[in-house]
Amino acid sequence: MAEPKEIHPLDELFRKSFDDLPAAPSTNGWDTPSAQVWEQVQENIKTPRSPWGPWALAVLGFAVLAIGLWAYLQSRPKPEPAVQPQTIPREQPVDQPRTDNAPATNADTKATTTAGSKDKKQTAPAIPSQQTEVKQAPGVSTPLPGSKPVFPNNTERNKRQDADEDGSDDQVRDRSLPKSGGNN
Amino acid sequence: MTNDLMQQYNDQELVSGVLRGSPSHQTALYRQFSVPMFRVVLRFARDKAEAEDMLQEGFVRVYRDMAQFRAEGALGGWIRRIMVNTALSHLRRQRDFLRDTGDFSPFENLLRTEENVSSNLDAEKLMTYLQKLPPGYRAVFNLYAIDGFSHEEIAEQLGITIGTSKSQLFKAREFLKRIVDKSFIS
Repeated sequence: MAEPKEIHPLDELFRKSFDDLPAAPSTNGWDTPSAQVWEQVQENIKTPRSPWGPWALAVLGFAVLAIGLWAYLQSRPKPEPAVQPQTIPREQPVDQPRTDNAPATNADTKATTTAGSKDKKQTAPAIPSQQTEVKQAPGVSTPLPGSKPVFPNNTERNKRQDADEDGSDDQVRDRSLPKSGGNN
Repeated sequence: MTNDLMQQYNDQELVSGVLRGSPSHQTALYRQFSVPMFRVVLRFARDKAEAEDMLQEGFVRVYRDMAQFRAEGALGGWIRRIMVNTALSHLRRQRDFLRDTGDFSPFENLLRTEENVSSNLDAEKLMTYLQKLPPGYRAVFNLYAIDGFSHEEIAEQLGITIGTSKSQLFKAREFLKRIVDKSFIS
């Protein structure tokens, strides 16, 4: 247990003298600090002292970089899979049903499965007609995969349409087709 | 810092403003408490320059630790405790500040040269006499006689024994009594 506090007259004199001081500072300035004190205090309290401040900035910067990198990778066009050019002989006729061992495309396979196995000749896989027409047209280069079909020659097509209307298909066909060297 | 233009805030407004980092509240808090707190640290310091160092360090701690203030008491009392602790830690950094050197020459010189010591024992004079005491005596006398701490609390705060605290208080009183007695004799 603590001893009872001894009250000394000298203690009272000092304590009362300091406690009874007026709130206003003394006119001679003995109890007024210089202006440099406040300036120093201001300099010290300007910078926030957060121990995890630099770490938060580092984590934030890393997160921004990661998000930016992810967005950049998402915006890049994905490389298309390499398409093997199909080698189809030019002399192959358009209307002939395909009976060779040419690989079937996905569309052909799908058509086969939906049609069932009623008529194997009708559901046999065939080469797309666009591709065949382009291949057959003389003087036209092979189109790239996925490109739009281009009619080889409008003049020839118009002549063919006129001939259809006139009913003289055979004559037009004979004129348009090049003559073969062999005797029939 | 013009006092007339500064706005007055109550404790709660000062605390919330300082916590928000408001410069006007920071300035108002310093303006309101700088003089009374400077009087507190002057009692522990040997001169005005050392007291200003203590005051600056104390106010930096006040702003830094403002979030720890609980509105159970007055803001002034909380700041005063910080100032006393700052002054004590400042003294503890001085080597052997509690060593009983027996060197009271500054105090003896003061007694010889101050002819009008009795004429006006105001606070400023008493402060001057107090500052002439050795730092250990000054600290114990301040804590016991003015700040109201017990010897147990002083021993704990200064890291000394209770007996040392009592003996230093006794010697401080002896020297202060001589100057006060002289005032009554003359």
